[in-house]
Amino acid sequence: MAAAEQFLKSNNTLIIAIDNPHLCLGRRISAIIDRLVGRLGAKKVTVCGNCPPELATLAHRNPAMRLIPIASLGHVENEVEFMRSFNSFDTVPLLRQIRMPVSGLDLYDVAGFDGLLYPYRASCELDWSILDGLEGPYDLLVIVGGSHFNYPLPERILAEVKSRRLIAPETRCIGVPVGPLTGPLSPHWIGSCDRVLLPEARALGVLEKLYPDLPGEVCGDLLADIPQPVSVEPETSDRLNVLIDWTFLHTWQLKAILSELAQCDLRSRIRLSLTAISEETSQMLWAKWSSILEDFAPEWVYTNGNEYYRAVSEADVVIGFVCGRDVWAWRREQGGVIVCDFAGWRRAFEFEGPDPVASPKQCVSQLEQLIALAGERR
Amino acid sequence: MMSAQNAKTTAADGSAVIEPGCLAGRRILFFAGLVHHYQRLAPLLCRLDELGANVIYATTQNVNFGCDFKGDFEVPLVQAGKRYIFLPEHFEAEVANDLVLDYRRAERTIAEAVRSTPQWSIRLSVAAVRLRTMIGLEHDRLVRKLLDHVEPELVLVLHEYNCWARPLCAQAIARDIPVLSFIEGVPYETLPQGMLNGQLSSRICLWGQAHYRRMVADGAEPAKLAIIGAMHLDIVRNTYLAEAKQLRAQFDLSPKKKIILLLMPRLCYLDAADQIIRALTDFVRERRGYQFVIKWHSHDRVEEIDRLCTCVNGTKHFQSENTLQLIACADVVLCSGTMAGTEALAFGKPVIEINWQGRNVNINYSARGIAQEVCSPQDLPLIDEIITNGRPKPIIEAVEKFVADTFSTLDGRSVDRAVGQVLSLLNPCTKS
Repeated sequence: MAAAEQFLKSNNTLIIAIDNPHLCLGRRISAIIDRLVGRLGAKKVTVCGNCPPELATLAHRNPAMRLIPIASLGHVENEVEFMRSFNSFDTVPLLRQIRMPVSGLDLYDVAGFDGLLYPYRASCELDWSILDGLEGPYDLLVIVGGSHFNYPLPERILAEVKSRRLIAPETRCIGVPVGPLTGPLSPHWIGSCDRVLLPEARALGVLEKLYPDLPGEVCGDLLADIPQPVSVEPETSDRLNVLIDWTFLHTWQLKAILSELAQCDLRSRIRLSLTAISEETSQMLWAKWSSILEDFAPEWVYTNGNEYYRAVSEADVVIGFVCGRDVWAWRREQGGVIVCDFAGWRRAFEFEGPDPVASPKQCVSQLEQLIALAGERR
Repeated sequence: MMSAQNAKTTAADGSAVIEPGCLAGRRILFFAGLVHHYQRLAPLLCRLDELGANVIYATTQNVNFGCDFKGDFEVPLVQAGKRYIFLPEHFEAEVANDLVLDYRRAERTIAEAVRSTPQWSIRLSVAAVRLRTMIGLEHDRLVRKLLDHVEPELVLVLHEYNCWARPLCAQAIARDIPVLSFIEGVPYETLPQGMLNGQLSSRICLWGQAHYRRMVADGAEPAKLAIIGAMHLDIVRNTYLAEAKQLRAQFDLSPKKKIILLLMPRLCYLDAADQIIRALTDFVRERRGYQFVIKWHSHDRVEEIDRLCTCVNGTKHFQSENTLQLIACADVVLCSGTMAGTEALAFGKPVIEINWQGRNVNINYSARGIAQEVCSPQDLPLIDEIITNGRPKPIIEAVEKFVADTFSTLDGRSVDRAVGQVLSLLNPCTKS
């Protein structure tokens, strides 16, 4: 730990926070920043980014801490100018370099007019002027969080502090990734850090594989036991609480599990909950699969609040997916997590979690085993 | 609509002969690249079914960066009782391992770009590019599997300007499979020049001369373009107008009052939505003979709509209902630069453009002289003026020209003409 103490010496620290509500990172980010601020002992700590709401409480408690949240401005005013601005990406070689392997179209051609427009719009509608409030010189940069599809946060903030010379060229940048370390939703900024702090050896092993030249540090006392979403008393019930925690990447896999569950005699033995981003999500699922869902009468767990954290803690079994939320990491002690990978993404993304199940049948079979174990325990 | 069992029919342009069963067993792949793609082409798809075609429906997952699941593409197909191929479900496991090398290569490209040209990453989320890249690479392989599996004789899409349809069109053309595409609506004024070039279609069916001119100007080959009319409007316009009384009863609208219909765009495109709604509510409340009706965009969240409706009493609200049926019931239609205004003009309804705080979405009606605009609550008496005296003559004349130019002919035969194009692509010797 002495090594970590050395890296974290600072008088004026800038922490860049990157929440991603879809990955439910907020509570963990706040807890990590709370500990970091305590550890840093800096006279001044500025937290800038798309800050989870819990940070406001922290800032209120700690006079040395200042929040610069990047808030939404509302809609872009000039649609024509916005489109002209977006089309200026035409010259960006990146999007032309990434060619679709079969059709030969480039990424811009395929995605330029819708896939990337939404995140670009979201980024244009953020109030970046608040960055004027950054006051250096900062002697330490820390990036905490994951990555968000619509917010080019670390790049924008780093560009601002560099252009205004709020940091010296030799200022260290420490990364504290939260959420899945691999896959398309993983923190993309890790490679820009000078050092990465991780909660335990497993994550360090993944980092060494992904970024062999990047020094990593297990920082157990700073980061361990962070995943404590909400403390709950285990509920005693005849039926097991099973939460299927899917994201937008996994809709057909969710359907495959539900279909398999529907064929098994588990309905009377489980109480099923399904995550959803909003009421519309659940309505959409009803519109598609009402005949399957009717049998289970699932309870919907919306992922934008405490309800989600509580459900993850309360569930006897959580069925998760590769490249989704890293519930398996939160529940490492508690267990009862099945990770699904029906499409072979583990290989594609070098998934760092436990061995996934490769088919709906295997998933349900593992669920049956867990139900049997739970029955024995009770 | 004409039955397939009828005797042979000549397409309205007098060229193609449509006989019952003339498409028996022909494998036509329809791909829905967004929710409304099926809805727009449903009249043609039904007709192809009737003519014996083996229409294979396919769609994919709506992965809109996890913002929400508004509009999963397969829902209209489920509601229509169609069996369909859902790309990830059918082929994802097959393509996942192939994806590895492509994705790694793309990741390297992205990482190099971040290092060498950091300015773009300040404006566009790296995470979005990564995710879109992964999704794009996978989709490209999924559609290849789809074509391998279906071996269609013809690919049918609403249009090629969509990230889901585009790779499919490109691959089909590369395999010499003809692609028949259509056009979604009036070309938005915000679309860049040169975009509507039809390069990935064998034939593009257009609504009217306005489309033709725009596409030729954008570089499309004139030989690929066929003006067939607007199928979604053509069939129903006269029916709905004739049934307006019954429709009013169906929607529980007053049979005697003047219906002021506000067609809302997505709320994210109308900053002043609450002010507009409140002003219109107050305006109508002061007049006995009017009824205020709001048609919300089907993609807007219920809670957002509820928030805006708290101040509005005595107003009828619709969201999932048929917009064209509501237009048929209306006496005056207000819109904010969306294409629905064009449809209202085709129905012969006076359109008033709302230009409260700028931000026309797609079409500037008032600048084209086909609608008058209201820019503030003080302008709302324009509604009284139009209801009492009608629209000014220059506007009526401009609208006539606009509708004729945009929709060519609304003679109830546009589906026939589309079938004619299908036949000519399947049987190249058929004159189209």
